[in-house]
Amino acid sequence: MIDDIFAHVTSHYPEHRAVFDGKNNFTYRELYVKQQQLVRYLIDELQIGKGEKIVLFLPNCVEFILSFFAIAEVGAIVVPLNIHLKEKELRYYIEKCGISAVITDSYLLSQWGKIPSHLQAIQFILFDKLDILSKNILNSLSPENDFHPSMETSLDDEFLYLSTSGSTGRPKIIPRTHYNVIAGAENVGNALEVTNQDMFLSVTPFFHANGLSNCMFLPIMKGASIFLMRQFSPRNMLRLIQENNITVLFGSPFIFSTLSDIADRTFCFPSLRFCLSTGAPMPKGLGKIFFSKFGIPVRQLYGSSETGTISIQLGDFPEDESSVGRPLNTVTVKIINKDGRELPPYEVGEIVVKSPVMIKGYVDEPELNKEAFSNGYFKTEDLGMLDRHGNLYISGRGKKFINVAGIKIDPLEIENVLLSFHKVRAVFVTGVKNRRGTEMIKAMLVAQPDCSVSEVIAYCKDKLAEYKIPRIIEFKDEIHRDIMGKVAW
Amino acid sequence: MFTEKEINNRIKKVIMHSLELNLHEDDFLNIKNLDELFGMDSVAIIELVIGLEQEFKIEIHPEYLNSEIFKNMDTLTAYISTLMNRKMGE
Repeated sequence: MIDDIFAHVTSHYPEHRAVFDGKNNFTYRELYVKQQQLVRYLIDELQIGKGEKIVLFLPNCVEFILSFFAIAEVGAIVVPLNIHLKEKELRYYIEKCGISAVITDSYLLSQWGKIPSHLQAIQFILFDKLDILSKNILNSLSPENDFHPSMETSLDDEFLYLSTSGSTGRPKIIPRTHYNVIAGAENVGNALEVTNQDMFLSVTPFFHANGLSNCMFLPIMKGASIFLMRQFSPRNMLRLIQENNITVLFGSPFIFSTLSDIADRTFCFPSLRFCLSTGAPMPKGLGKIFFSKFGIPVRQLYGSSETGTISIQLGDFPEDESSVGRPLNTVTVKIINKDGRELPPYEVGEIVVKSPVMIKGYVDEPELNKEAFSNGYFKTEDLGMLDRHGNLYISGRGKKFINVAGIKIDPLEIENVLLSFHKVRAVFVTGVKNRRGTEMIKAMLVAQPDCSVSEVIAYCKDKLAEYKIPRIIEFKDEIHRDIMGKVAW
Repeated sequence: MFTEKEINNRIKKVIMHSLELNLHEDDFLNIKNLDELFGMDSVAIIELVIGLEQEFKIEIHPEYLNSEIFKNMDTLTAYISTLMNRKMGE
Protein backbone atom coordinates (compact mmCIF):
# COMPACT_ATOMS: atom_id res chain seq x y z
CA MET A 1 0.00 0.00 0.00
CA ILE A 2 1.07 3.63 -0.25
CA ASP A 3 2.50 3.77 3.27
CA ASP A 4 4.41 0.54 2.60
CA ILE A 5 6.02 2.19 -0.41
CA PHE A 6 7.09 5.11 1.75
CA ALA A 7 8.60 2.76 4.36
CA HIS A 8 10.29 0.71 1.63
CA VAL A 9 11.88 3.76 -0.01
CA THR A 10 13.03 5.04 3.39
CA SER A 11 14.73 1.73 4.17
CA HIS A 12 16.57 1.89 0.83
CA TYR A 13 17.59 5.56 0.88
CA PRO A 14 17.44 6.68 4.54
CA GLU A 15 20.03 9.46 4.29
CA HIS A 16 19.00 10.66 0.84
CA ARG A 17 17.52 14.15 0.74
CA ALA A 18 13.75 13.80 0.40
CA VAL A 19 12.27 17.24 0.73
CA PHE A 20 13.57 20.76 1.09
CA ASP A 21 12.23 24.25 0.64
CA GLY A 22 15.23 26.52 0.97
CA LYS A 23 14.96 26.67 4.77
CA ASN A 24 14.20 23.14 5.97
CA ASN A 25 15.77 19.91 4.77
CA PHE A 26 14.53 16.41 5.47
CA THR A 27 16.14 13.12 4.62
CA TYR A 28 13.89 10.14 4.05
CA ARG A 29 14.65 8.87 7.56
CA GLU A 30 13.77 12.21 9.14
CA LEU A 31 10.58 12.38 7.13
CA TYR A 32 9.67 8.87 8.19
CA VAL A 33 10.18 9.65 11.87
CA LYS A 34 7.89 12.65 11.62
CA GLN A 35 5.31 10.66 9.73
CA GLN A 36 5.26 8.00 12.43
CA GLN A 37 4.75 10.67 15.10
CA LEU A 38 1.76 11.93 13.16
CA VAL A 39 0.36 8.40 12.75
CA ARG A 40 0.52 7.90 16.52
CA TYR A 41 -1.18 11.23 17.09
CA LEU A 42 -3.99 10.49 14.64
CA ILE A 43 -4.70 7.10 16.20
CA ASP A 44 -3.95 7.62 19.89
CA GLU A 45 -5.19 11.18 20.36
CA LEU A 46 -7.88 11.55 17.71
CA GLN A 47 -9.00 7.92 17.21
CA ILE A 48 -8.99 8.38 13.45
CA GLY A 49 -10.13 5.10 11.95
CA LYS A 50 -10.17 3.25 8.67
CA GLY A 51 -12.24 4.81 5.91
CA GLU A 52 -12.63 8.20 7.58
CA LYS A 53 -12.34 11.14 5.22
CA ILE A 54 -9.66 13.64 6.17
CA VAL A 55 -9.30 16.98 4.38
CA LEU A 56 -5.76 18.22 3.67
CA PHE A 57 -6.02 22.01 3.46
CA LEU A 58 -2.38 22.97 2.98
CA PRO A 59 -0.10 24.43 0.32
CA ASN A 60 2.92 22.55 -1.05
CA CYS A 61 4.78 21.88 2.19
CA VAL A 62 6.36 19.14 4.25
CA GLU A 63 3.24 18.98 6.40
CA PHE A 64 1.17 17.99 3.37
CA ILE A 65 3.54 15.14 2.54
CA LEU A 66 3.67 13.88 6.13
CA SER A 67 -0.11 14.01 6.44
CA PHE A 68 -0.60 12.19 3.13
CA PHE A 69 1.51 9.21 4.19
CA ALA A 70 0.20 9.24 7.76
CA ILE A 71 -3.40 9.07 6.58
CA ALA A 72 -2.43 6.20 4.25
CA GLU A 73 -0.98 4.25 7.16
CA VAL A 74 -4.04 4.84 9.31
CA GLY A 75 -6.26 3.49 6.52
CA ALA A 76 -8.25 6.70 6.16
CA ILE A 77 -9.02 8.66 2.96
CA VAL A 78 -7.22 11.85 1.92
CA VAL A 79 -9.33 14.70 0.55
CA PRO A 80 -6.97 17.45 -0.68
CA LEU A 81 -8.76 20.77 -1.21
CA ASN A 82 -7.72 24.02 -2.86
CA ILE A 83 -6.58 26.41 -0.13
CA HIS A 84 -8.26 29.33 -1.87
CA LEU A 85 -11.77 27.92 -1.41
CA LYS A 86 -14.18 29.88 0.75
CA GLU A 87 -16.59 28.73 3.45
CA LYS A 88 -19.57 28.14 1.16
CA GLU A 89 -17.47 26.07 -1.23
CA LEU A 90 -15.90 24.09 1.62
CA ARG A 91 -19.33 23.25 3.10
CA TYR A 92 -20.18 21.48 -0.13
CA TYR A 93 -17.23 19.11 0.28
CA ILE A 94 -18.00 18.44 3.92
CA GLU A 95 -21.47 17.25 2.99
CA LYS A 96 -20.56 15.51 -0.24
CA CYS A 97 -17.62 13.57 1.20
CA GLY A 98 -18.66 13.09 4.82
CA ILE A 99 -15.56 14.76 6.25
CA SER A 100 -14.59 13.88 9.81
CA ALA A 101 -11.35 15.86 10.19
CA VAL A 102 -9.38 18.68 8.59
CA ILE A 103 -5.59 19.03 8.71
CA THR A 104 -4.54 22.61 8.11
CA ASP A 105 -2.46 25.46 9.56
CA SER A 106 -3.68 28.29 11.80
CA TYR A 107 -3.27 30.96 9.15
CA LEU A 108 -5.71 29.09 6.86
CA LEU A 109 -8.39 28.49 9.48
CA SER A 110 -10.24 31.74 8.71
CA GLN A 111 -11.12 30.35 5.24
CA TRP A 112 -13.43 27.90 7.06
CA GLY A 113 -15.48 30.73 8.54
CA LYS A 114 -18.07 29.45 10.98
CA ILE A 115 -17.67 25.78 10.07
CA PRO A 116 -15.45 24.87 13.06
CA SER A 117 -18.02 26.27 15.49
CA HIS A 118 -21.13 25.07 13.63
CA LEU A 119 -19.95 21.56 12.86
CA GLN A 120 -18.20 20.54 16.05
CA ALA A 121 -18.13 16.89 15.10
CA ILE A 122 -15.39 17.75 12.60
CA GLN A 123 -11.93 17.74 14.18
CA PHE A 124 -9.66 20.57 13.09
CA ILE A 125 -6.00 19.61 13.37
CA LEU A 126 -3.73 22.64 13.22
CA PHE A 127 -0.38 21.25 12.15
CA ASP A 128 1.58 24.26 13.36
CA LYS A 129 0.27 23.58 16.88
CA LEU A 130 1.40 19.97 16.84
CA ASP A 131 5.09 20.84 16.97
CA ILE A 132 5.91 17.66 15.06
CA LEU A 133 8.37 19.29 12.70
CA SER A 134 10.56 20.71 15.43
CA LYS A 135 10.62 17.74 17.82
CA ASN A 136 13.67 15.56 17.67
CA ILE A 137 12.47 12.34 19.22
CA LEU A 138 11.90 8.75 18.28
CA ASN A 139 15.34 8.48 16.68
CA SER A 140 15.30 4.79 17.23
CA LEU A 141 12.49 4.39 14.78
CA SER A 142 13.30 2.78 11.49
CA PRO A 143 11.13 1.03 8.92
CA GLU A 144 12.45 -2.32 10.19
CA ASN A 145 11.20 -1.97 13.75
CA ASP A 146 8.70 0.84 13.67
CA PHE A 147 5.21 1.23 14.94
CA HIS A 148 2.59 -0.22 12.59
CA PRO A 149 -1.06 0.02 13.52
CA SER A 150 -3.01 -3.10 12.74
CA MET A 151 -5.05 -1.60 9.93
CA GLU A 152 -5.94 -4.06 7.27
CA THR A 153 -5.89 -2.20 4.02
CA SER A 154 -5.87 -3.57 0.53
CA LEU A 155 -4.88 -2.14 -2.80
CA ASP A 156 -8.54 -1.85 -3.73
CA ASP A 157 -9.40 0.30 -0.71
CA GLU A 158 -10.28 3.88 -1.48
CA PHE A 159 -7.50 6.22 -0.42
CA LEU A 160 -7.82 9.54 -2.26
CA TYR A 161 -10.82 11.74 -3.05
CA LEU A 162 -10.05 14.27 -5.77
CA SER A 163 -12.32 17.06 -6.87
CA THR A 164 -12.99 17.87 -10.50
CA SER A 165 -15.09 20.57 -12.09
CA GLY A 166 -18.43 19.43 -13.33
CA SER A 167 -20.62 21.06 -15.90
CA THR A 168 -23.59 21.05 -13.55
CA GLY A 169 -22.50 23.80 -11.21
CA ARG A 170 -21.16 21.35 -8.63
CA PRO A 171 -17.77 19.62 -8.48
CA LYS A 172 -17.63 15.83 -8.76
CA ILE A 173 -15.64 13.63 -6.42
CA ILE A 174 -13.20 11.13 -7.89
CA PRO A 175 -12.36 8.21 -5.59
CA ARG A 176 -8.95 6.69 -6.26
CA THR A 177 -7.81 3.46 -4.62
CA HIS A 178 -4.28 2.74 -3.39
CA TYR A 179 -3.82 0.80 -6.61
CA ASN A 180 -4.97 3.73 -8.81
CA VAL A 181 -2.58 6.15 -7.08
CA ILE A 182 0.41 3.81 -7.30
CA ALA A 183 -0.31 2.87 -10.92
CA GLY A 184 -0.62 6.53 -11.90
CA ALA A 185 2.77 7.48 -10.52
CA GLU A 186 4.34 4.26 -11.84
CA ASN A 187 3.08 5.04 -15.36
CA VAL A 188 4.63 8.48 -15.48
CA GLY A 189 7.74 7.43 -13.58
CA ASN A 190 8.49 4.69 -16.10
CA ALA A 191 7.83 6.97 -19.07
CA LEU A 192 10.23 9.63 -17.71
CA GLU A 193 12.68 7.04 -16.30
CA VAL A 194 12.64 8.73 -12.91
CA THR A 195 15.36 7.57 -10.49
CA ASN A 196 16.49 8.52 -7.02
CA GLN A 197 18.97 10.92 -8.64
CA ASP A 198 16.17 13.16 -9.87
CA MET A 199 15.35 16.52 -8.34
CA PHE A 200 11.77 17.72 -8.82
CA LEU A 201 10.80 21.38 -8.49
CA SER A 202 7.27 20.99 -7.18
CA VAL A 203 5.21 24.13 -7.74
CA THR A 204 2.05 22.56 -9.18
CA PRO A 205 -0.32 22.50 -6.20
CA PHE A 206 -0.50 19.19 -4.37
CA PHE A 207 -4.26 19.65 -3.96
CA HIS A 208 -4.65 18.99 -7.70
CA ALA A 209 -4.45 15.54 -9.29
CA ASN A 210 -1.34 16.26 -11.36
CA GLY A 211 0.54 18.03 -8.56
CA LEU A 212 -0.21 15.31 -6.04
CA SER A 213 0.56 12.36 -8.27
CA ASN A 214 3.42 13.62 -10.44
CA CYS A 215 5.09 16.27 -8.27
CA MET A 216 4.73 14.71 -4.81
CA PHE A 217 3.99 10.99 -4.79
CA LEU A 218 6.03 10.02 -7.88
CA PRO A 219 9.36 11.48 -6.67
CA ILE A 220 8.88 9.98 -3.19
CA MET A 221 8.02 6.59 -4.69
CA LYS A 222 11.30 6.61 -6.61
CA GLY A 223 13.42 7.94 -3.75
CA ALA A 224 14.04 11.18 -5.62
CA SER A 225 14.23 14.66 -4.08
CA ILE A 226 11.60 17.38 -4.00
CA PHE A 227 12.26 21.11 -3.81
CA LEU A 228 9.03 22.62 -2.58
CA MET A 229 7.92 25.85 -4.18
CA ARG A 230 4.96 27.07 -2.16
CA GLN A 231 4.16 29.95 -4.48
CA PHE A 232 5.10 30.52 -8.07
CA SER A 233 7.28 33.45 -9.10
CA PRO A 234 8.97 33.21 -12.52
CA ARG A 235 12.14 34.97 -11.42
CA ASN A 236 12.48 32.77 -8.36
CA MET A 237 11.89 29.66 -10.41
CA LEU A 238 14.75 30.40 -12.78
CA ARG A 239 17.08 30.90 -9.84
CA LEU A 240 15.93 27.71 -8.11
CA ILE A 241 16.37 25.58 -11.24
CA GLN A 242 19.93 26.83 -11.55
CA GLU A 243 20.95 26.61 -7.88
CA ASN A 244 19.43 23.22 -7.16
CA ASN A 245 20.19 21.32 -10.38
CA ILE A 246 16.54 20.62 -10.99
CA THR A 247 15.98 17.71 -13.36
CA VAL A 248 12.17 17.57 -13.68
CA LEU A 249 9.76 20.51 -13.86
CA PHE A 250 6.01 20.15 -14.21
CA GLY A 251 4.13 23.36 -14.97
CA SER A 252 1.21 24.85 -16.85
CA PRO A 253 1.34 26.88 -20.09
CA PHE A 254 0.99 29.98 -17.90
CA ILE A 255 4.20 29.11 -16.07
CA PHE A 256 6.19 28.46 -19.25
CA SER A 257 4.77 31.59 -20.86
CA THR A 258 5.78 33.85 -17.94
CA LEU A 259 9.24 32.25 -17.76
CA SER A 260 9.67 33.09 -21.45
CA ASP A 261 8.42 36.63 -20.78
CA ILE A 262 10.91 37.50 -18.08
CA ALA A 263 13.93 35.78 -19.63
CA ASP A 264 15.92 38.70 -20.96
CA ARG A 265 18.67 36.41 -22.27
CA THR A 266 19.16 32.74 -23.11
CA PHE A 267 19.63 30.33 -20.23
CA CYS A 268 21.38 26.99 -19.96
CA PHE A 269 20.14 24.42 -17.49
CA PRO A 270 22.23 21.29 -18.12
CA SER A 271 20.56 19.36 -15.31
CA LEU A 272 17.01 19.87 -16.57
CA ARG A 273 15.82 16.68 -18.25
CA PHE A 274 12.14 17.46 -18.62
CA CYS A 275 9.83 20.47 -18.75
CA LEU A 276 6.28 19.12 -18.81
CA SER A 277 3.21 21.20 -19.47
CA THR A 278 -0.10 20.07 -18.03
CA GLY A 279 -3.54 21.37 -17.25
CA ALA A 280 -4.27 23.18 -20.50
CA PRO A 281 -3.26 23.04 -24.16
CA MET A 282 -0.04 24.86 -25.00
CA PRO A 283 -0.78 28.02 -27.01
CA LYS A 284 0.60 27.89 -30.53
CA GLY A 285 4.16 29.10 -30.75
CA LEU A 286 4.93 29.00 -27.02
CA GLY A 287 6.99 25.82 -27.35
CA LYS A 288 9.26 27.40 -29.95
CA ILE A 289 9.70 30.61 -27.94
CA PHE A 290 10.57 28.66 -24.80
CA PHE A 291 13.03 26.48 -26.68
CA SER A 292 14.75 29.53 -28.16
CA LYS A 293 15.35 30.97 -24.67
CA PHE A 294 16.09 27.84 -22.65
CA GLY A 295 17.20 25.20 -25.17
CA ILE A 296 14.85 22.61 -23.78
CA PRO A 297 11.49 21.57 -25.24
CA VAL A 298 8.28 21.79 -23.25
CA ARG A 299 6.58 18.40 -23.43
CA GLN A 300 2.80 18.32 -23.35
CA LEU A 301 1.17 15.92 -20.96
CA TYR A 302 -2.49 15.03 -21.46
CA GLY A 303 -4.59 13.46 -18.78
CA SER A 304 -7.65 13.71 -16.62
CA SER A 305 -8.42 13.32 -12.94
CA GLU A 306 -10.62 10.34 -13.88
CA THR A 307 -7.86 8.43 -15.68
CA GLY A 308 -4.55 9.89 -14.61
CA THR A 309 -1.94 10.75 -17.22
CA ILE A 310 -2.98 9.48 -20.65
CA SER A 311 -0.06 10.51 -22.86
CA ILE A 312 3.19 12.49 -22.85
CA GLN A 313 4.88 14.03 -25.85
CA LEU A 314 8.26 12.32 -25.57
CA GLY A 315 9.55 12.14 -29.14
CA ASP A 316 12.11 14.41 -30.75
CA PHE A 317 11.22 18.06 -30.35
CA PRO A 318 7.96 18.02 -32.26
CA GLU A 319 7.39 20.16 -35.29
CA ASP A 320 3.66 19.79 -34.74
CA GLU A 321 2.94 21.29 -31.33
CA SER A 322 -0.62 20.04 -31.24
CA SER A 323 0.34 16.42 -30.59
CA VAL A 324 0.14 15.28 -27.00
CA GLY A 325 2.28 12.25 -27.70
CA ARG A 326 1.61 8.53 -27.54
CA PRO A 327 -0.48 6.93 -24.80
CA LEU A 328 1.60 5.55 -21.93
CA ASN A 329 2.34 1.81 -21.89
CA THR A 330 -0.56 0.69 -19.74
CA VAL A 331 -3.07 3.15 -21.23
CA THR A 332 -5.38 2.37 -24.14
CA VAL A 333 -6.88 5.16 -26.22
CA LYS A 334 -9.58 4.78 -28.83
CA ILE A 335 -11.27 7.33 -31.04
CA ILE A 336 -14.99 6.62 -31.44
CA ASN A 337 -17.86 8.14 -33.38
CA LYS A 338 -21.31 9.02 -32.01
CA ASP A 339 -22.44 5.40 -32.35
CA GLY A 340 -19.51 4.12 -30.35
CA ARG A 341 -17.71 2.64 -33.35
CA GLU A 342 -13.93 2.85 -33.29
CA LEU A 343 -12.50 5.13 -35.97
CA PRO A 344 -9.34 4.56 -38.01
CA PRO A 345 -6.27 6.85 -37.89
CA TYR A 346 -6.71 10.44 -38.97
CA GLU A 347 -10.45 10.45 -38.37
CA VAL A 348 -11.67 12.79 -35.64
CA GLY A 349 -13.97 11.52 -32.95
CA GLU A 350 -14.35 11.34 -29.17
CA ILE A 351 -11.32 10.22 -27.17
CA VAL A 352 -12.09 7.33 -24.82
CA VAL A 353 -9.51 5.93 -22.42
CA LYS A 354 -8.83 2.79 -20.42
CA SER A 355 -6.14 2.95 -17.75
CA PRO A 356 -5.16 1.21 -14.49
CA VAL A 357 -5.58 4.60 -12.84
CA MET A 358 -9.15 4.89 -14.06
CA ILE A 359 -11.83 5.08 -11.41
CA LYS A 360 -15.00 3.02 -11.55
CA GLY A 361 -17.22 6.05 -11.12
CA TYR A 362 -17.75 9.36 -9.31
CA VAL A 363 -18.98 9.35 -5.74
CA ASP A 364 -22.80 9.32 -5.61
CA GLU A 365 -23.39 10.13 -9.28
CA PRO A 366 -25.10 7.03 -10.72
CA GLU A 367 -26.63 8.74 -13.75
CA LEU A 368 -23.44 10.58 -14.62
CA ASN A 369 -21.44 7.37 -14.23
CA LYS A 370 -23.61 5.55 -16.77
CA GLU A 371 -22.83 8.26 -19.31
CA ALA A 372 -19.15 8.74 -18.53
CA PHE A 373 -17.97 5.16 -17.99
CA SER A 374 -18.92 2.68 -20.68
CA ASN A 375 -17.55 -0.77 -21.64
CA GLY A 376 -14.52 -0.29 -19.42
CA TYR A 377 -13.61 3.05 -20.97
CA PHE A 378 -13.89 6.62 -19.74
CA LYS A 379 -15.45 9.04 -22.20
CA THR A 380 -13.35 12.21 -22.01
CA GLU A 381 -15.71 14.28 -24.20
CA ASP A 382 -12.55 15.61 -25.87
CA LEU A 383 -12.30 15.37 -29.64
CA GLY A 384 -9.17 14.15 -31.33
CA MET A 385 -7.49 11.67 -33.59
CA LEU A 386 -4.59 9.24 -33.68
CA ASP A 387 -2.04 9.22 -36.47
CA ARG A 388 -0.62 6.01 -37.88
CA HIS A 389 2.25 6.11 -35.38
CA GLY A 390 -0.15 6.24 -32.47
CA ASN A 391 0.38 9.94 -31.65
CA LEU A 392 -2.68 11.60 -30.19
CA TYR A 393 -3.93 15.00 -31.35
CA ILE A 394 -6.58 17.00 -29.50
CA SER A 395 -8.84 19.04 -31.77
CA GLY A 396 -11.53 20.17 -29.37
CA ARG A 397 -12.70 20.07 -25.80
CA GLY A 398 -16.22 18.87 -25.29
CA LYS A 399 -16.64 19.85 -21.65
CA LYS A 400 -17.69 23.38 -21.02
CA PHE A 401 -15.27 24.65 -18.47
CA ILE A 402 -13.01 27.67 -18.33
CA ASN A 403 -9.34 26.88 -17.93
CA VAL A 404 -7.53 29.49 -15.85
CA ALA A 405 -3.80 28.73 -15.73
CA GLY A 406 -4.51 25.00 -15.69
CA ILE A 407 -7.37 25.11 -13.19
CA LYS A 408 -10.72 24.05 -14.68
CA ILE A 409 -13.65 26.13 -13.59
CA ASP A 410 -17.31 25.42 -14.16
CA PRO A 411 -18.94 28.61 -15.53
CA LEU A 412 -22.29 27.44 -14.20
CA GLU A 413 -20.96 27.58 -10.65
CA ILE A 414 -20.01 31.22 -11.13
CA GLU A 415 -23.30 32.03 -12.86
CA ASN A 416 -25.23 30.56 -9.93
CA VAL A 417 -23.34 32.76 -7.48
CA LEU A 418 -23.82 35.89 -9.58
CA LEU A 419 -27.53 35.19 -10.01
CA SER A 420 -27.91 34.96 -6.24
CA PHE A 421 -26.82 38.63 -5.96
CA HIS A 422 -30.02 40.63 -5.59
CA LYS A 423 -28.95 43.31 -8.09
CA VAL A 424 -28.28 40.83 -10.92
CA ARG A 425 -31.13 39.72 -13.18
CA ALA A 426 -29.37 37.68 -15.85
CA VAL A 427 -25.84 36.45 -16.39
CA PHE A 428 -23.59 34.68 -18.84
CA VAL A 429 -20.10 33.52 -17.86
CA THR A 430 -17.54 32.36 -20.38
CA GLY A 431 -13.81 32.04 -20.94
CA VAL A 432 -12.00 34.46 -23.22
CA LYS A 433 -8.46 34.13 -24.47
CA ASN A 434 -5.91 36.59 -23.13
CA ARG A 435 -2.79 37.75 -24.92
CA ARG A 436 -0.91 34.65 -23.71
CA GLY A 437 -3.45 32.42 -25.41
CA THR A 438 -4.69 31.14 -22.06
CA GLU A 439 -8.14 31.84 -20.62
CA MET A 440 -9.64 34.33 -18.24
CA ILE A 441 -13.18 34.59 -16.93
CA LYS A 442 -15.64 37.06 -18.40
CA ALA A 443 -19.09 37.72 -16.97
CA MET A 444 -21.83 39.57 -18.79
CA LEU A 445 -24.55 40.85 -16.48
CA VAL A 446 -27.95 42.35 -16.77
CA ALA A 447 -28.24 44.21 -13.50
CA GLN A 448 -29.89 47.11 -11.73
CA PRO A 449 -28.60 50.50 -12.88
CA ASP A 450 -26.88 51.15 -9.54
CA CYS A 451 -24.91 47.89 -9.63
CA SER A 452 -21.15 48.44 -9.89
CA VAL A 453 -18.19 46.19 -10.73
CA SER A 454 -16.79 46.56 -7.21
CA GLU A 455 -20.10 45.48 -5.63
CA VAL A 456 -20.24 42.38 -7.81
CA ILE A 457 -16.64 41.50 -6.98
CA ALA A 458 -17.20 42.11 -3.26
CA TYR A 459 -20.21 39.75 -3.38
CA CYS A 460 -18.21 37.08 -5.22
CA LYS A 461 -15.24 37.32 -2.86
CA ASP A 462 -17.37 36.09 -0.01
CA LYS A 463 -18.55 33.02 -1.91
CA LEU A 464 -15.91 32.11 -4.44
CA ALA A 465 -12.18 31.43 -4.39
CA GLU A 466 -10.25 34.35 -5.94
CA TYR A 467 -9.36 32.42 -9.07
CA LYS A 468 -13.08 31.98 -9.86
CA ILE A 469 -13.91 35.68 -9.69
CA PRO A 470 -14.49 37.10 -13.20
CA ARG A 471 -11.59 39.17 -14.53
CA ILE A 472 -13.86 41.08 -16.90
CA ILE A 473 -17.33 42.18 -15.89
CA GLU A 474 -19.54 43.79 -18.51
CA PHE A 475 -23.01 45.20 -18.00
CA LYS A 476 -25.51 44.60 -20.77
CA ASP A 477 -29.09 45.69 -21.38
CA GLU A 478 -29.97 42.10 -22.22
CA ILE A 479 -28.38 38.76 -22.93
CA HIS A 480 -29.57 37.23 -26.19
CA ARG A 481 -29.81 33.46 -26.36
CA ASP A 482 -30.60 31.67 -29.61
CA ILE A 483 -32.95 28.73 -29.96
CA MET A 484 -30.13 26.39 -28.84
CA GLY A 485 -29.60 28.40 -25.69
CA LYS A 486 -26.30 29.77 -26.97
CA VAL A 487 -25.46 33.34 -26.12
CA ALA A 488 -24.50 35.71 -28.91
CA TRP A 489 -21.79 37.88 -27.36
CA MET B 1 12.67 61.92 -12.48
CA PHE B 2 8.98 60.98 -12.38
CA THR B 3 6.49 62.42 -9.93
CA GLU B 4 4.30 60.12 -7.89
CA LYS B 5 1.32 61.26 -9.95
CA GLU B 6 3.04 60.22 -13.18
CA ILE B 7 4.02 56.88 -11.67
CA ASN B 8 0.45 56.42 -10.44
CA ASN B 9 -0.94 57.00 -13.95
CA ARG B 10 1.54 54.62 -15.53
CA ILE B 11 0.66 51.94 -12.96
CA LYS B 12 -3.03 52.28 -13.85
CA LYS B 13 -2.20 51.78 -17.52
CA VAL B 14 -0.10 48.70 -16.67
CA ILE B 15 -2.95 47.25 -14.60
CA MET B 16 -5.46 47.74 -17.38
CA HIS B 17 -3.12 46.40 -20.08
CA SER B 18 -1.49 43.47 -18.22
CA LEU B 19 -4.75 42.22 -16.80
CA GLU B 20 -6.74 43.11 -19.95
CA LEU B 21 -9.38 44.76 -17.80
CA ASN B 22 -12.39 46.41 -19.31
CA LEU B 23 -11.93 49.58 -17.23
CA HIS B 24 -11.43 53.33 -17.51
CA GLU B 25 -9.07 55.44 -15.43
CA ASP B 26 -12.07 56.93 -13.62
CA ASP B 27 -12.91 53.47 -12.24
CA PHE B 28 -9.87 53.77 -9.99
CA LEU B 29 -11.22 56.93 -8.35
CA ASN B 30 -14.01 55.35 -6.32
CA ILE B 31 -12.18 52.40 -4.87
CA LYS B 32 -9.99 51.96 -1.82
CA ASN B 33 -8.36 48.68 -2.76
CA LEU B 34 -7.36 47.18 -6.10
CA ASP B 35 -9.10 43.89 -5.35
CA GLU B 36 -12.40 45.75 -5.69
CA LEU B 37 -11.75 45.97 -9.43
CA PHE B 38 -10.76 42.38 -10.18
CA GLY B 39 -10.20 39.03 -8.49
CA MET B 40 -6.67 39.35 -7.18
CA ASP B 41 -5.57 35.74 -7.46
CA SER B 42 -2.00 34.58 -7.87
CA VAL B 43 -2.23 34.67 -11.68
CA ALA B 44 -3.32 38.32 -11.64
CA ILE B 45 -0.49 39.27 -9.28
CA ILE B 46 2.13 37.55 -11.44
CA GLU B 47 0.78 39.28 -14.56
CA LEU B 48 0.85 42.61 -12.73
CA VAL B 49 4.41 42.10 -11.50
CA ILE B 50 5.67 41.22 -14.98
CA GLY B 51 3.88 44.27 -16.43
CA LEU B 52 5.30 46.61 -13.78
CA GLU B 53 8.83 45.24 -14.17
CA GLN B 54 8.69 45.71 -17.93
CA GLU B 55 7.18 49.21 -17.71
CA PHE B 56 9.50 50.61 -15.05
CA LYS B 57 12.59 48.46 -15.80
CA ILE B 58 12.78 47.33 -12.17
CA GLU B 59 12.88 44.03 -10.37
CA ILE B 60 10.20 43.23 -7.79
CA HIS B 61 11.47 40.79 -5.21
CA PRO B 62 9.31 37.63 -4.96
CA GLU B 63 8.89 38.08 -1.20
CA TYR B 64 6.58 41.02 -1.91
CA LEU B 65 4.12 38.94 -3.92
CA ASN B 66 1.90 38.27 -0.92
CA SER B 67 2.33 41.60 0.76
CA GLU B 68 -0.05 44.49 1.26
CA ILE B 69 1.88 46.51 -1.34
CA PHE B 70 -0.46 45.30 -4.06
CA LYS B 71 -3.55 46.11 -2.04
CA ASN B 72 -4.11 49.65 -3.27
CA MET B 73 -2.76 52.33 -5.58
CA ASP B 74 -1.13 54.35 -2.77
CA THR B 75 1.00 51.53 -1.42
CA LEU B 76 1.84 50.29 -4.90
CA THR B 77 2.82 53.76 -6.13
CA ALA B 78 5.00 54.34 -3.07
CA TYR B 79 6.71 50.98 -3.55
CA ILE B 80 7.41 51.54 -7.25
CA SER B 81 8.69 55.05 -6.50
CA THR B 82 11.10 53.63 -3.94
CA LEU B 83 12.42 51.07 -6.40
CA MET B 84 12.87 53.69 -9.10
CA ASN B 85 14.69 56.06 -6.77
CA ARG B 86 16.93 53.24 -5.64
CA LYS B 87 17.69 52.39 -9.24
CA MET B 88 18.51 56.01 -10.07
CA GLY B 89 20.80 56.20 -7.09
CA GLU B 90 22.86 53.23 -8.37
